[in-house]
Amino acid sequence: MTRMLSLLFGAAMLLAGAAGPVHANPIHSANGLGLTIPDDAGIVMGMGGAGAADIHSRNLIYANPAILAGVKNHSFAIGAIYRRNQVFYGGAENPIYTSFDPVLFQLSLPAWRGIVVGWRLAPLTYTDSVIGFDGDTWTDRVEVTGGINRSSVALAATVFTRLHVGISYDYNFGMIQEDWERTFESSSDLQGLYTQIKNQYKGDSFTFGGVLSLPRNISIGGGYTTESDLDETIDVRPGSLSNPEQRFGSGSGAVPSSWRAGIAAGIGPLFTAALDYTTAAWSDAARTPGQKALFVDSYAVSGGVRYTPDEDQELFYLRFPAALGVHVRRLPNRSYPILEPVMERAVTAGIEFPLGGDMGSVVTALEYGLRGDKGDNGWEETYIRAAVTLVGTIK
Amino acid sequence: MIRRIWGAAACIAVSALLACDTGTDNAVTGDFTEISPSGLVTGAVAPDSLTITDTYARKLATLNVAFAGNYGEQKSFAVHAFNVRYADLDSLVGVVLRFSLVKKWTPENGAVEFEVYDTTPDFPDTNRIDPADFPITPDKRVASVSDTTDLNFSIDPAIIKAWPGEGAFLLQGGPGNETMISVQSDDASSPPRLLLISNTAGEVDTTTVVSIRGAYHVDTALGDTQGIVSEINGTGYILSMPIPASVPRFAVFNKATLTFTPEQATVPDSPFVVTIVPLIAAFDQNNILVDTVRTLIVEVLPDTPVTVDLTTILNGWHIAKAKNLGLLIRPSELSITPNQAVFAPRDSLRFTYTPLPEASR
Repeated sequence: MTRMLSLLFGAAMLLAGAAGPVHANPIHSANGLGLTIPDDAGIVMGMGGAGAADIHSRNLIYANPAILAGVKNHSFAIGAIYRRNQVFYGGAENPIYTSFDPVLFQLSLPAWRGIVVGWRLAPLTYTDSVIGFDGDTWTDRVEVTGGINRSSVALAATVFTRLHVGISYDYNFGMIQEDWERTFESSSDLQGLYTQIKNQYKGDSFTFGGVLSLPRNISIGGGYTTESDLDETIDVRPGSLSNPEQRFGSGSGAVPSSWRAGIAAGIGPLFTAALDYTTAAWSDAARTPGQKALFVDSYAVSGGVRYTPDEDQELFYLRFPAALGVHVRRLPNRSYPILEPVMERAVTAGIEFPLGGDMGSVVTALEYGLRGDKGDNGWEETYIRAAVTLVGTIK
Repeated sequence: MIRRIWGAAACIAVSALLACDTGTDNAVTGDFTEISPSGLVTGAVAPDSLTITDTYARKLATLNVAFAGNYGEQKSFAVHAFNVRYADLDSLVGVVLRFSLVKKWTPENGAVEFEVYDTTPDFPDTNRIDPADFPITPDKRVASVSDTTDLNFSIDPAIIKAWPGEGAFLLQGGPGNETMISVQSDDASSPPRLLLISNTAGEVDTTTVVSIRGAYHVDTALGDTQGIVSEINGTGYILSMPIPASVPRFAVFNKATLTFTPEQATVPDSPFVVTIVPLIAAFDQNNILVDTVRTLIVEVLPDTPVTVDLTTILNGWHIAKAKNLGLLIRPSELSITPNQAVFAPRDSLRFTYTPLPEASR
């Protein structure tokens, strides 16, 4: 237990160190609620994001709470991700954005007769960008930070051996903050200003899921998440930081309903293949005129293969579970000002490093992808995501 | 084959971590976001909407100076009361009324002539005295001087003996006087005093009686004109300045200026400094509360308009939740010099502001 606490502390320190830098995302991440974070924590990221039907204790997706039924020991998971995007706007510079952010904290507690209780805290969307605007005599600089988070309490159970079911209550909350700074040319006698706008959101939803094990080592599964209407309050601190914060008004937002279905199959004793289809009705979630113009139903097709070593494997390189995958996604936000859907294509790989003494494992994954298209969207970017997740056993 | 895959994966991972550009902070043009800033908006408040809603007048009965004499059209007199109830008046043989001069203002070769009148010691209004309460007639004129080097007035002892315990003297300029003076008043270290000279069985003794009350009155010669700022009279005014309803609730002023034009200015003693400060409580002559942080100081010169920057004050009212209770405009120094002017806005309040960014709203 002491060793486990040390590991947990170490991971927490890692995440604390990852708090900066902020505003490290491309400017299009400031649109709408921000960029969505793929639901692919744990071994799923290495498999291209496929895992809706894959009962496995290192599968940490939230789209199907029935997956939680695969957890046999009290455990926790804590993960972080490094992202590096290089954007091509067609100008002289191709800016690079990097960040290192926490992606989840999860507790999984097997309770009684195959019933597992779980709690998870994870970000759903993020913004974090810095944008510049030039006027005739002034320059605006706006930092957009924050996003929507989800806190889920889940219950999963195994029914009739082959059927796993799960349900979770999701509390969605967060804040997107805009910090506007206006400066004037030195020859101007106008005073610059700083204005802070805080958009706070809260709402809830439910997620239902199931996985059915079929003959020939095949399983099918999926999950459905209800739409979450978000209450929005807008507070403004106009003029300068020393001025009092004041209520601007209220509004609404939404995290859309989504569903995800998949199939997983064992290929021999060492390999597992999985294929997922995910879609979210973002067009129904649009509230503001800007969102109605930008939001588009998102979908993703993900597929991957996982290698699980034989316990008797003697070759060092082959002792570690590993995965390869690909995915194609359509993002929830259209590009701006060219209002066209944005496509994402990526290849992924993952390696799992088991810890000694049945303490759990460190799951790593790497993704390289292309997002957008200069011709269709006005910009495109290449990106790398490198994730590290510690899945530990609580003894 | 599998080893090659592992090797390639390891190379990619190491390359990615080595390429960590942490701290990248690129600000890029916002052409690719729906977020957009707001432009600048200009506007003005017509002079008619800038109204003088009250008059500030400092108490003149509790000062350590008093004014007397003439400067230009200004006229002033000072009254000081004395209590001689406990003095031995039976053997009184001589009386001297002595003032301590603080400063004088006189035109080149200006005439100096001051005279003292016997008057009533009763002050119906202890804050400001009314000339009607202190009538003077030629028969009450008791002494005069034509030099301010020695402000000693010889008084007939009979006048003092006739007082019913208390009496008062009024000091003012004579008919040909062209000089204004300030003297130490009853609250000063060297107040006006009576030197009572007595002779008891050939032994001459002098008793000093200091003033127990004092005040002065000024006729500014500006009548009921609005917008008077007067050091000598300790007066100013409250300027009400509404922000137009067309300015959005969360707009931030980038510039707001108002031009004051001095008229009928009398400035014998530069600099004439005026304070412009927002009130933080409804104006109460006896308890004036102002926002000292947002105080503006300007110098008034005759015939020279003064433009003041009210940006911070307007932002305080508009976005910092400070109540717009108007501006107190008064001399920075009170009762120090004869400086005064009609100092009021004659032009529009002009402003430029930035509305709240249109981001996501």
